[in-house]
Amino acid sequence: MEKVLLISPEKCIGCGSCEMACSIEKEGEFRPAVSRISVHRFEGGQNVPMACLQCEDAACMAACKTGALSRNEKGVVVVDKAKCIGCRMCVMACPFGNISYSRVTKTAFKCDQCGGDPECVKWCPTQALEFLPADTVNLQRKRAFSATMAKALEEVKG
Amino acid sequence: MYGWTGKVLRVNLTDGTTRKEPLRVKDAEAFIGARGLGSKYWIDDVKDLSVDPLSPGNNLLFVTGPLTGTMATSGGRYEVVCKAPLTGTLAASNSGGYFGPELKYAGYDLIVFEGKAPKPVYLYVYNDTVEIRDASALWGKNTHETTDAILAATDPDAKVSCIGPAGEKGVLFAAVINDKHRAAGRSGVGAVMGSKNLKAVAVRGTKGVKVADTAAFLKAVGEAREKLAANPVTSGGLPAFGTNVLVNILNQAGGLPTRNFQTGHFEEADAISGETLSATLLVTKKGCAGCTSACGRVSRTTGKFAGSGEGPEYETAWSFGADCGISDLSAATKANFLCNELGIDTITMGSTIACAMEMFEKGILTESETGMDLSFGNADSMVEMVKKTGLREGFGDKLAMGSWRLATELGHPELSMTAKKQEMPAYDPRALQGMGLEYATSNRGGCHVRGYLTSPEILGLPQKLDPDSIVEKPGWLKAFQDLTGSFDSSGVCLFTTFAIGADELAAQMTTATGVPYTADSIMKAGDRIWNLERLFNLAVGFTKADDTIPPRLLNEPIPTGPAKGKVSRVPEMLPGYYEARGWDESGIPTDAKLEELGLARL
Amino acid sequence: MIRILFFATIRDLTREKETSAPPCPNVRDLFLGLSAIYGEAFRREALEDGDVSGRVIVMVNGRAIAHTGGGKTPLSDGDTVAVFPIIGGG
Repeated sequence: MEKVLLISPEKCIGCGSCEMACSIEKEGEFRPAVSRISVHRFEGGQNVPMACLQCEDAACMAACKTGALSRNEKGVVVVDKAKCIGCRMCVMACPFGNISYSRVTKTAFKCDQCGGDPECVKWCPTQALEFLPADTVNLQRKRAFSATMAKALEEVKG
Repeated sequence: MYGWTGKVLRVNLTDGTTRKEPLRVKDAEAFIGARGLGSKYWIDDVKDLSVDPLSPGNNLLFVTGPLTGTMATSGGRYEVVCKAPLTGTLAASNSGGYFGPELKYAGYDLIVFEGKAPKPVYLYVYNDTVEIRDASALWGKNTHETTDAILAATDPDAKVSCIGPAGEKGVLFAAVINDKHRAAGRSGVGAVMGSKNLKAVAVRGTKGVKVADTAAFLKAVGEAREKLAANPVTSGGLPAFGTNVLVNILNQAGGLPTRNFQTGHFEEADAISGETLSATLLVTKKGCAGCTSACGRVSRTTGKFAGSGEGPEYETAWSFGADCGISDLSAATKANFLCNELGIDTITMGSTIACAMEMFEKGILTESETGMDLSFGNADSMVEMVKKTGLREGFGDKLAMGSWRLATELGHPELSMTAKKQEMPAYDPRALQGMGLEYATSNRGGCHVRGYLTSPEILGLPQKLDPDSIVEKPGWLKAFQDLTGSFDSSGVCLFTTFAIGADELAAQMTTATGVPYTADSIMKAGDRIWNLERLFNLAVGFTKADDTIPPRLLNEPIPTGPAKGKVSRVPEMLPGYYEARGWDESGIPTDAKLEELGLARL
Repeated sequence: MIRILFFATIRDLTREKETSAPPCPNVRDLFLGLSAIYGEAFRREALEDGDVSGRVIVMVNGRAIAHTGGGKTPLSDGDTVAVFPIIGGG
């Protein structure tokens, strides 16, 4: 079965292990600035790790004019670097800022769930990040998380 | 380079110039980083050790460790190093938060500030771009206002380390505050920063830190993390209650210094404990960069002492609580928030107020001098005094000297609970013999954390030691001091040592830097760092006579509580300590010792 | 009577900060009695193989039982016993 990355911000202690795990895996150095997952730390003590949520109706895919973004057999939205022209429309389109642009490769980059064994999940000390089968229960949890995020975004906008 | 970035930023505030230079690699390997390397850099650069701490010649360093900013266990630490205004020793104050890793990500192992800026400035570092910016509009602002203003003027993701009014006005125990709520607290490093007209250091780094053998490093970290996860302190007590969980256990042992160390038992201890904090003021827990324990407290007070921020830690709940005879946790927490905003060391602040309270009750100080009733237990006055000290107003101007100078000026130095002029933290030496020896021998004066024998003496970790016995304490203290020296220099948080030790540090250091460290060489590096600090003290005039604690603790038995009747036996332990250290009877390192460590007399 | 004080997570197991008990010979016997009152969760933390477990720090009148004979530490009328989980700080 397809798996889904579940984020539980209430468990996040803001340590940034996920950022370090991602960047060492993908870039060979501890470098949160290019991590595909980012921890947002708020004054009140809340911490929210954000990574690509592999939206069903992906804004980034809709924005991409060259077909560089597509969904693979695991349900993950992936970047085809050969087709990417570096226009950054996807970066602008994602409402969460979960896709970025690399000035080094001159292409977009995003979470690809490490091919099915995400490093961030392995290193999170509090299970704020989980990688679980996309069954009914877990998808429900994911929707609940998305609803919370949407509500928070409305509050921030308003 | 691996672990270390290999690059040092040197800022001449007098000329307004900056330059980058390569890291002194041999020194980095021998002294590791942060505390050890910073001390070595200071000594080698300044040369004239007699320099006045508040003069332009006192270099100020912000130093990370090779493991700072990596996935190393709780690897988020850095140190602020200079000559200490409070004590005249070297100051190396450790802090967590997120500033240290950001400096590594910008590409630097350390920043050295020399001289004094003609007007208030702050430094902004964004990777290779370094700017000295005008801080006139920030001078006078507290650390929170300063941080917000600088983030708005630079980058919302930058990390800021700054001083508040206390550092600007030369409060001798002013702190450097980073990320608003974390403190490089002790010994007056904030006053040194203020004396240089340096308001803040802001860093934004988007580069990365490489390690020599990634797979092996991650394996070493993973194994160490397992130990942290299995340990009841690092994965149980610390995240659940924070450090404040110590109040009750110290009190039950009769070693919670109360009313300026007049006794070791506080009837109302539970009211200021971690249990009470969790049940009343705690909002959530928080961790520093890379830390899996999250012992930090986000808290909020309401009513008369309303405020919000992080803390209080054990030493703070003690200094504003039991030491001042105060049982109102809100008041102690508010004092803590004020100290973070004004940029003040909470330990020295509370202990100085407690000293003033004792002098007030004994009639040595009067209300006409203090401006208010300063009896033990007066929470309103305590909080007011913190504010006044931060701004050096009224009697706060006197408190700003610290308890030793205040009490000595009034003819009663014996009422200052200090060692080498720095206030002793929250463990009564009469109930914990090992802590007394630590206070007496610690290179930076009254310090608990660099030789934390409370762990075996009270917590039973790594082994249960009898707090009353003295024969084994010298050897154990040397081991703790040496191990701490290395941890403090690596960038890893000291609290990991409840669960891991030299082996795990050596494994992480070796795989990260590519330099082969072993448990032995880690301990030896700590010994080297300890001796370097000692050589500094000897060179500036400290002697065996300074390796002591106040007469009250040596001569007056604890009057009440479970440790009633006990005194500290530091003088009996000192010869054994010198011997364990390889020093002569005057506490001076022998030639053989120095040769073993590769050190030269200063 | 013997006064018994509970701290930190031990309070979650006993649901109270303190209690008292009639005098009994030693700490081990006291703990057996407390386990009967507070139940399985307390027993699991405080006892191991019929004696006081290594997961708790116990003080009698301020002295850790580790230095006075462990579970065999004698108790007298008027003693104060303090029970802590293993905790830490700095």
